[in-house]
Amino acid sequence: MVRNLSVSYGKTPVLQGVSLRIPDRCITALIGRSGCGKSTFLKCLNRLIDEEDAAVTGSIRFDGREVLDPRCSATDLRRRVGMVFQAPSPFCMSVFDNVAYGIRLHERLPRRELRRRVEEALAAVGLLGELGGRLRQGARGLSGGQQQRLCIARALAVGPQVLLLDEPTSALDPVSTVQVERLLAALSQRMAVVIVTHNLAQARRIAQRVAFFGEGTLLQDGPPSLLSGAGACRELERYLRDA
Amino acid sequence: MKRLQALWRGALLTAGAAAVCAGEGLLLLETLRRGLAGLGSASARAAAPRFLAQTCNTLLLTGAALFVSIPLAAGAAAWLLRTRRRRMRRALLRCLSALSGVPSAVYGLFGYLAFGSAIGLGYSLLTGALTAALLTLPPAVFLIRGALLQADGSVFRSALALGASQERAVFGVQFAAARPGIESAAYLAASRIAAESAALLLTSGIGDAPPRGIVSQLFRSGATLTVGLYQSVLEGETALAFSAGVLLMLFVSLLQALAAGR
Repeated sequence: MVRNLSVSYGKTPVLQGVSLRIPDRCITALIGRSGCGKSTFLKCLNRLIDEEDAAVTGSIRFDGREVLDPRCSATDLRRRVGMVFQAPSPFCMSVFDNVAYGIRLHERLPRRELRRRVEEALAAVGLLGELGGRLRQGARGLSGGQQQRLCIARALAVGPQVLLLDEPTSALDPVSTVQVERLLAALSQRMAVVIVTHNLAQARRIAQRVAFFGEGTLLQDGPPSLLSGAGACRELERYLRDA
Repeated sequence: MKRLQALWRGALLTAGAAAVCAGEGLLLLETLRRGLAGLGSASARAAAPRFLAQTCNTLLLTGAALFVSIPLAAGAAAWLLRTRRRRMRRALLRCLSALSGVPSAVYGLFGYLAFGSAIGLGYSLLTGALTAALLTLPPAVFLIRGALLQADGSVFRSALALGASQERAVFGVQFAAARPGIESAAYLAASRIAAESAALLLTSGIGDAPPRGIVSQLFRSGATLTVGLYQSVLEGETALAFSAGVLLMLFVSLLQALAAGR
């Protein structure tokens, strides 16, 4: 639950007074023009905003705790609120070590258990079968779509309760995009998924809630029928017309 | 008229390139001619133990210097990359730039005072290695920082998003992404150390005793190939000096090729 969230870089406000409830087991799509604060909002949810010189005020409550409280451990939060970025970013390691990286950060598992968790995560994104057991090959040798799914598997392996995705398919071809969308639909059965997207068709296909941002504020949020204009506010109607 | 100017410019550039190639080529060929001839001579065969000792000293000193300078440079580069203290970062960068321009003889004087005299290591390969580490620290920091900046920065962010601390994200993931650049920095630092003369003349000395053990050799005075080259010239043995020059050129060329191959 986000209440009155505001973010500014120096004297420049980027987000102002944003309040939004993110439902569990649901895909929430954040839409809006470039620079309206969607990605900044996303970074606040797992406190990646801490790495930037930003002033953050307001409240984000997750699992009964205040996320923005300095006493709340950011590394523990990020285990439970995973994030995948726009460009696939596999580490310079094997496929296995990429997925195991997050697990090894938080747990000490016997080799067999670690392998099981890695394979489970790869199977969830459809990579286990595709790679045919070649988990020791370098991750950077995979195709773009496979790399992005690997990044999703890497985020899933640590067992998050929420998955944040910042335009995860913008760098992918249509076939890979469909694969990722199907994966997200499956994941939303068991966790909250928040996706930033400029692709309205994608939002129409997969989103169960839509949040429309404009000039650093949340202008409207509601069901995906907003994207067809039904009940849309004036700014959203203009955005839908221009898109 | 424009065509004439273009021809004139082309001719000047070609002549300049030809002059550089000719000059460098002459130097290279003459050194190789005299050096290879010297290597086959009786005096070179007699001086073989000296060459062996100097080669071992070069490798040992270079290795020890890199063992100190590369981790320190990597740590400094990582700090420069991640710190939000802008004034301190600017100040450190200015200091490093200034230190890059200090003559190596001055490093040698400081090295002898700090390591040879104050710590009590005297003239030794270790004093030379520590001095050489200081000497190569500023350029190594810049090279490694450049490699980290060029490397894919998104891996750092992805590691943080998985719950890694800043340190684990930088050293575990971002350094791995920048490894080719870091290795290049190490090879270039090694070639600089191997070719260094003034700083090592004042710190590691001119000993020619055959090496007995790695650790004990570090605490003894020992000439590197470059210092040995100076020695040979001062003693009037120019053929031996050219032979040492050929060995040095081969070693440095190998390191440069390894750096370029990354």
